Amino acid sequence: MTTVLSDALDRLLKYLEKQRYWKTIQPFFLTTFGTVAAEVAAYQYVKSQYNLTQVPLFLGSYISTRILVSGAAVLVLLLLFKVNPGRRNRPAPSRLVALYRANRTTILYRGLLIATVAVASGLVFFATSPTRASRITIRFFDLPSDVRSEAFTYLVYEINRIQRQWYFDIDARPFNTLELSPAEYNACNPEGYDHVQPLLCYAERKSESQGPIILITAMPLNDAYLATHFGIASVITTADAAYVAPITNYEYLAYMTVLQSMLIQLDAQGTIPADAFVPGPTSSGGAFEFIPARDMFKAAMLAPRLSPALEGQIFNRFGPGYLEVCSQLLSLDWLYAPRVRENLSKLFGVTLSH
Amino acid sequence: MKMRSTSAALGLLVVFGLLIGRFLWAAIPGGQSVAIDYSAEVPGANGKYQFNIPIEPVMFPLQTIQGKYRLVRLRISNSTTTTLALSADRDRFEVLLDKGATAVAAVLNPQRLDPTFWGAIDVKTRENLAYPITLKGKPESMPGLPTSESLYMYVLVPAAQVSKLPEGFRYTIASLSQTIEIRLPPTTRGATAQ
Repeated sequence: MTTVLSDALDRLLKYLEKQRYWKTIQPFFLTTFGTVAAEVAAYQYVKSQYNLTQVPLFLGSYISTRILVSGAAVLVLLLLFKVNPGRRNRPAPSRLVALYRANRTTILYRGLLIATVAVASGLVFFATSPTRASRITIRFFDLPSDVRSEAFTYLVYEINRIQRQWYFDIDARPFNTLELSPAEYNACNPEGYDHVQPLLCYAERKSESQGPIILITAMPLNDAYLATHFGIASVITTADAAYVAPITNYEYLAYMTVLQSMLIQLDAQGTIPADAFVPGPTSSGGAFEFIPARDMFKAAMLAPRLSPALEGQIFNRFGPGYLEVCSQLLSLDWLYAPRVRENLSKLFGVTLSH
Repeated sequence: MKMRSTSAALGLLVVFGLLIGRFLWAAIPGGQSVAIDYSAEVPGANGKYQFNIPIEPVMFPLQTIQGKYRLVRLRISNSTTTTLALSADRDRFEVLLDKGATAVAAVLNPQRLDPTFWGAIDVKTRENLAYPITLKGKPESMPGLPTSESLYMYVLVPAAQVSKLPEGFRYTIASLSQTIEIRLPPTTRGATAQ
């Protein structure tokens, strides 16, 4: 395949070289060829580094966009340089100052063009740059009796250890609602309103001073099950964990922590999928899909999957490394690794479900 | 002339010496602790609870928060194996003054009892002053591990009602169904009752 393409390119070049307009189009041809080559090389690099094999996902990514923008910028400059307002009066080259004086118009024109194209390209680069996700603090409101905070803390530290994209802080202080101001507390517990979610409201208030936060509780949530989320705050409850039995609370909490972190990070960047958790009668097991029946959650948890649209959003917002980490953490393979399993069993007395 | 200037110099020296001496008399030697310790101990399941309140006698009557509350720092140690549950609404903390005087109740839940004060202080201070909700029990017995879990908490005492050193404190913990009197040890009680 490569040989065929190479032969075709050689023939095309030989044909073009014989044409009288070749000298004119040569720089444009070479720039286009270089852009395509850069795209192929970048795809090969991402493929080898992050196991990403989907070409459409790559073509829609910020990496591909940057290469295209760079190539387009060079093409625009080449085109505009063809127009030379000072060419008519060009004198014979002499000393540097004389050369500058003689070509002042051309130099200013080209300088202005370069600056304009560079600024435009920079804006595209800035708009499409991935942002490193921030730290997330985990706090315990209360834990179920079968979960030891130190064992769960160990799991969180394992997540921090095995990758460099995500960082969790554990706040060892029990979550205390007395820390809230009276106005905050009253706003979270409005009288005569049944659909209020005080725990999520508390987490939101704390996130204002602590940054992104995940609150873990054993208490049931009002009008929600498994977890609830808004902005950069999430609450995970173990009150509904019986639906995933015999999966242990540790596995459940590890999975939910990863899932809620993704949600927090996407929401913080304003790129949460529009169809995330929208109620519907069907589900294909996507991580951000609404689960129509609680007992279906176990199946979704055991076979976690990111939809192509979600993969694209994560790739473009946080980069390919982050996307790989999301898939890796969500699969819980790290949790079932012999090292972690053995540490949990021997040092914390925790046996995983499978 | 010479005699006069010598007298003046001597006079200045005496005044200077008196001033220096005055400062020295006002200070407390640094080799001793300036705080007095109120303490109590009650037994629990497989261990005990210890309560300590250090008070600095010079600073206590002088320092207040917003002229409204004095801070009492209480250290609780739990050497039992069970978690101690605390509740700002069900527990009670009182300052005992002179014999016969009414005990002064501390404010454990300012969020509910003094919302104006609580809403006006910053987040970090609220975090530090909030009445705790739990104190873990000691870790399972293993060599090298501490034999108890401890925490410090701050109690807000109405400044207008407590202007001098307390006789002691009365602390009721609902989850223990017990009232604990935290007092000075007998030896220091006489020395500080000035």
